[in-house]
Amino acid sequence: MKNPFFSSVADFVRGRDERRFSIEEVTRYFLSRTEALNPSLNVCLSINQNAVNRARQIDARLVRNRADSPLTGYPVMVKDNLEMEGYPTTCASRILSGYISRRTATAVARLLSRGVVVLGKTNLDEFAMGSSTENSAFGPTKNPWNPARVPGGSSGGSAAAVAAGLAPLALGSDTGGSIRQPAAFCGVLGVKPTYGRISRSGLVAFSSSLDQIGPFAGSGADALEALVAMSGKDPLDMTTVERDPSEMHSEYQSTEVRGLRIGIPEALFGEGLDPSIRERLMEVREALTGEGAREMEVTLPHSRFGINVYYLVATSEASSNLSRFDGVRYGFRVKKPADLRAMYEETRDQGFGDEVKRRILLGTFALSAGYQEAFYRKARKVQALIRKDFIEAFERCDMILTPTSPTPPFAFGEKTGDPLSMYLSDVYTITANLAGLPALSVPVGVDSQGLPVGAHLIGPPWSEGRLLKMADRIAGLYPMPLPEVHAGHVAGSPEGGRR
Amino acid sequence: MSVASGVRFGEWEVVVGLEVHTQLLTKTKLFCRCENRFGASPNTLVCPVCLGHPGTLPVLNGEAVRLGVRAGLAAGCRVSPVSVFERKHYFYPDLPKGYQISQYATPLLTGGGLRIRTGAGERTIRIHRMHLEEDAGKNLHAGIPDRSHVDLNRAGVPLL
Repeated sequence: MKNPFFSSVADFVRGRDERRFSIEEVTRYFLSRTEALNPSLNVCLSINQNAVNRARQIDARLVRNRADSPLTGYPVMVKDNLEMEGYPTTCASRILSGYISRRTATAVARLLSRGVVVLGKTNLDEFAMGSSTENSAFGPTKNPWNPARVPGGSSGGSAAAVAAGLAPLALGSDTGGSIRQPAAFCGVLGVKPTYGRISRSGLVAFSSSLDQIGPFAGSGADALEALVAMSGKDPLDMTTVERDPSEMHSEYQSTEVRGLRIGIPEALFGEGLDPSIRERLMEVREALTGEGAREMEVTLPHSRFGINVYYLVATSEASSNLSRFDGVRYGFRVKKPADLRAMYEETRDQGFGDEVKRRILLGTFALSAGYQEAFYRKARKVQALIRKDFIEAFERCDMILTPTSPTPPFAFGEKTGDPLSMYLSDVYTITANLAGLPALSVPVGVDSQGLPVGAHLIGPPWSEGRLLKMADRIAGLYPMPLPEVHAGHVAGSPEGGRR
Repeated sequence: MSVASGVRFGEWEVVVGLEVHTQLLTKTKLFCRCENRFGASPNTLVCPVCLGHPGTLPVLNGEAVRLGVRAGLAAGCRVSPVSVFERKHYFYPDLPKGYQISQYATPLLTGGGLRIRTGAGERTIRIHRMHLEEDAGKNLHAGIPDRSHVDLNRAGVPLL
């Protein structure tokens, strides 16, 4: 996570404006570190060959004018399900092989307009479906803390990039925990914003009613800068909401730990939670009450249906959203199919991986004639009840604290044979997506095996500023050690099909 | 869709329902900014949205809703204050997204009717419902053996 130039966005701004370093120097440093570590970590699916040129252009601009944004010249990596015009977007799937994007995702475009330098595009579970990055067609990403462990998923590449110091900031997408769970597994901060805060135009859709884009960063203050830059109404995404992004800055400034009411769903600290993670979380609770926060018991009675509802809603929407990948207009298509039907069947059979096919099948079944009312529509009704539980809980507390993941980062292959146990990785994070709420994972030290542990904060709609401030306060109580990553450390590890 | 009834053949009563696709005279398509025009060269009135590219989202054309409501008021329909778009799924090369965005459970307009003159005097053809949906493209096969040519200029044109 450390780099020789700066320790935060604020420190970057000072260094840049005092000309302690050039943007080209910084860009070259991260690119060469990526070049050295990527063969073993498999974080990046493509490196931006234009990054140094862009850095030079920014340097040239900075000679004449002051930077107009804290992020001018800041290096960023982007999950490879977010589009950049003229670059491949693979979604870590064979079915998009050869596809070059025609447009740039609004979230990325807004960062680019502030002058960021995109270093590369990061690995993910195919179409963001998974919790370990093992479902990538290009091989799994390794956890920088321990190369025998998964980095989490689906945004595992972006989380590992920040943890291993290949970029100080990376973008992910979160449908059921795909930013927060890998953030916890890799010991970095990851935020899923309120539904409607950030435009999804240019994000390849998985589950449209749940997907949100968000940042991975070293701190809440750094994540805040990226969030503010990306947020706001976008005419290209009708689900975005008109809200002033700077409200996050002011709420970050005004939030104090003293007097803050922290909701604790005690049921979530019991059965099924790894004892070592529980211990860390109990320490965090104690430290926060020591700082003057007040704990309130909250109950979220419908949250126990979260996984069930999620795997109906998300698979139904996925089966619909992925029907456009048919081999007709772009991407992969089988050679010389016998007829039209064979072209569809063989293209989709060979183009998609097993987990994607599993979810398409589940979703197609749930939406099929006669079952839609019993499955998808009923799930949407329970989803509304889950949201209502949270809104009621937030009448009595300012945020809710839970673990991010029930287990520490698991080993490669440990859960691939048992989809249900893999799905349970998301048990704490999924409800925030179902309720459309902002949530984040902040690192709170390591467990007995030296693997990172994350604390999960969920807030009422639009409370990102408050959550990020709290994350920084918690991180202040728990200085994280850094993973020792060097090329030799992870070399020779087994999996990892290269492109 | 309209339903006419009343003509009898012995013990049988003839009931005729019509499904009518009316193209709306908007400048642009229902969910993107491509021109809504007939007769252009194949695949020249297309963009990533109506081609169903990954990452694209539909943005509703307000003028199509306005024209739809106007037609509904003229025909005495009830205008639904909330109407919902849904996806109708099937695989076909002229359907870029693998689904058509249409209205199903909650259409824009219901009821009303059209008065017409017939040999037997004036009749009212009742309207069951009117909703907005996007058109598909077209597959061309005439004179081209062993191939399908797909023209997506019409994909996304607003229909009532």
